[in-house]
Amino acid sequence: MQAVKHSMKFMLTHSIVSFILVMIIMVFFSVFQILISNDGTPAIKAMMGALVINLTLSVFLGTYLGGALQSLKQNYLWTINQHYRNTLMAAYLIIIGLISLVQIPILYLNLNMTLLILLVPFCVAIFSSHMVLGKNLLHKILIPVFPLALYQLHRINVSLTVIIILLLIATLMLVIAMYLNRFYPDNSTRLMTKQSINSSTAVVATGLNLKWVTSFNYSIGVFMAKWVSRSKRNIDWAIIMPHTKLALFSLLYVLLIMLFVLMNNDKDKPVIEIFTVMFLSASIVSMVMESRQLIRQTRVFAHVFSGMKHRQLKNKILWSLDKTFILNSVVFIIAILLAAQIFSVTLNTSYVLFATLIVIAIALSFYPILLCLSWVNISLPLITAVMTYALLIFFSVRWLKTHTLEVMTSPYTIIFIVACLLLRVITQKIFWQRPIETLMKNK
Amino acid sequence: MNPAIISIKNMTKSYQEKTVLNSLNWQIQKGDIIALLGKNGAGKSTLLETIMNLREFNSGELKLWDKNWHKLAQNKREKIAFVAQDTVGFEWMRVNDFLTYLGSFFPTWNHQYCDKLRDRWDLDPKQKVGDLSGGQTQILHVIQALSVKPELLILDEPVAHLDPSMRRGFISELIELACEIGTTVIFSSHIISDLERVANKVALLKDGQIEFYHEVELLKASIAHVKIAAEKSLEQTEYYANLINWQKHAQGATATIVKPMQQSLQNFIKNAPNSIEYIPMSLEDWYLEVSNASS
Repeated sequence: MQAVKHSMKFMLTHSIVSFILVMIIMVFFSVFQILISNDGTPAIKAMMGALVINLTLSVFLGTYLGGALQSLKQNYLWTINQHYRNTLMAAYLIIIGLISLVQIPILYLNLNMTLLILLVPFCVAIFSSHMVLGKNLLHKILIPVFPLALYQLHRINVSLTVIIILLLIATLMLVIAMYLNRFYPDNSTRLMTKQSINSSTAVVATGLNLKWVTSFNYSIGVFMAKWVSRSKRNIDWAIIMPHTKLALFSLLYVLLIMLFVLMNNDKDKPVIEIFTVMFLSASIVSMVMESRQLIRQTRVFAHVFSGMKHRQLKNKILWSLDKTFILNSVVFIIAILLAAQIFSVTLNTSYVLFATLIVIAIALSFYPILLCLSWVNISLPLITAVMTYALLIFFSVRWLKTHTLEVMTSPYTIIFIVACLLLRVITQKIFWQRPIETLMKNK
Repeated sequence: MNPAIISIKNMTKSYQEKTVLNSLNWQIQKGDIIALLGKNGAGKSTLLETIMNLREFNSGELKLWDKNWHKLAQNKREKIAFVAQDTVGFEWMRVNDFLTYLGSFFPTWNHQYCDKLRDRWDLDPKQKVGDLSGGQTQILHVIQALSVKPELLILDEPVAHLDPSMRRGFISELIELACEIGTTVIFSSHIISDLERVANKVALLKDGQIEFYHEVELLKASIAHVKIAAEKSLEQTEYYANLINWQKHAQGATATIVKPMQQSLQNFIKNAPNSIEYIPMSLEDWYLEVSNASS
């Protein structure tokens, strides 16, 4: 039991940042559900709302624990030592079970259908783990969406109880398969020990699997390498991954947003507008995280750049990120507008464009400070910086929502521009002052 | 004496409470191949990365070619090459792309030489960097550093993952490079047999300072375990002040000579007030003696 406890501790704390995020999301979601149950929302809608919220939480939880289990599975003991495997599986199931138990009372507040529904978050968490644990891309997609596919039986009048029973059986089979290590890679140690700093950020930023991202990076990188040597002293290649340079994830996000909108079938324009702001704000953060990890690749040639405290090198890093972020934002916004046009989704174009400009302005003026921070461990400066950045965007965009028409004539616009320029000067100065060793170290 | 290519005066570097480099002084002459030794955690990487301007020091002075880093001319900067201890990165590139990309930062990059080294060490130009083994990755970074044809080459444990044949090849390339363009090389390693083959000077970093810095040949001719005969247990007198690990016995004492003295070993023995037997020491034995001895 001691080993199980230790394993649970390792699983929960394998990525403190993600864990705290999951906890924050969980508290936030719980409060939200209690509000739903008390605000007079029709029962069925409240139930569906609560269910969606709980299942989203389960997806987060499943992915997080899938990552934990995957990293612990790398040890050769997983293959040769039954006790080790039992312990990990027990720890994994206990954590999911306990957190699902916590969800039950909250879900029960809104319950107006079969009691079996209370078990669904548990099942969904297990299936979601396979976004990380799956053997290949097909497994990573097909297994996690299986519960959703099963739910489609509802359309041919299969009762919810039967669907949930089928889901429970499938979950049981999946757990047995996990235990027996069926259709899982026996040992992906080789790849994991070659886990690159390049890949890990993409994994964090996108939630994609390391193996897949690595292969993807390889293919794109090898393709892009044709142009690498042409740009002398272009440090873009050392601090930004090829897919980021190509804005491929921007396009992927557009695809996901549009799929979401189409699946909902209500041509929901506020959703697109919110997603646009959210994605753009988050993308600079993931870009900073990526660069933060890659900057140390410049060690072999950093000395070639001149200036006190590596000023020239730091300026080139900032310039590269500026270019990449603007390119990603432009590609994203054009793709969103085109997709909205193609799928006949009516958008408040001027709001979307102004919101984009606001986010770009805040992001560009703020991110040098984010580059100075360590992203490996959660810290007070990190939380403060990220919260400040998020609040700046939130309040600016909220102001825009009510003042879209007068934005060009408002004196606040001038104040905003000046403030952004000033902020950039300050954050850039802080970045210049930062010793290169703190930028190059990964911890 | 050749002019100093690197001059360090009273350099101190601390991490919070821990002082890693403590008023370190060191002069490195052009053309020297220096083996930097020290225990794990002694601060070798910190020192090398500080010399590379990748770490800032708290106080003291560092000059390369008699200039501070920020005043160092561009053409000098481009003649410095560095292999870090941790050589991860650029995994998505193919071997050739990696070399071409890094080569673009160094005008003195020699493409033919680079290709020659790559072929010599059997690196497939089309292989992805991420698919190379640990040793191959390390040699790739060594190729990158050598291809710069640098005037100053700094290598932080460059051979840790290499097999003996690759290590030999690497050593012969270093010697060739030093002979051809007089490259100054500082490299840290724990494989002392390799250091003996290539280095003309050896430096020992201990307690934040360069405690020993001597020519290898001179050092090898000077170091020895000695057995000093006497009728009774022998105290360490002024004549033996430079000896370490002094251990008294019923009939004399044993001790170790770990650094060249003003007189040669033979003269030291000849002029000693006692009869002395000596056993020559290998560099590895010497390292063990001095690194384990208390300051």
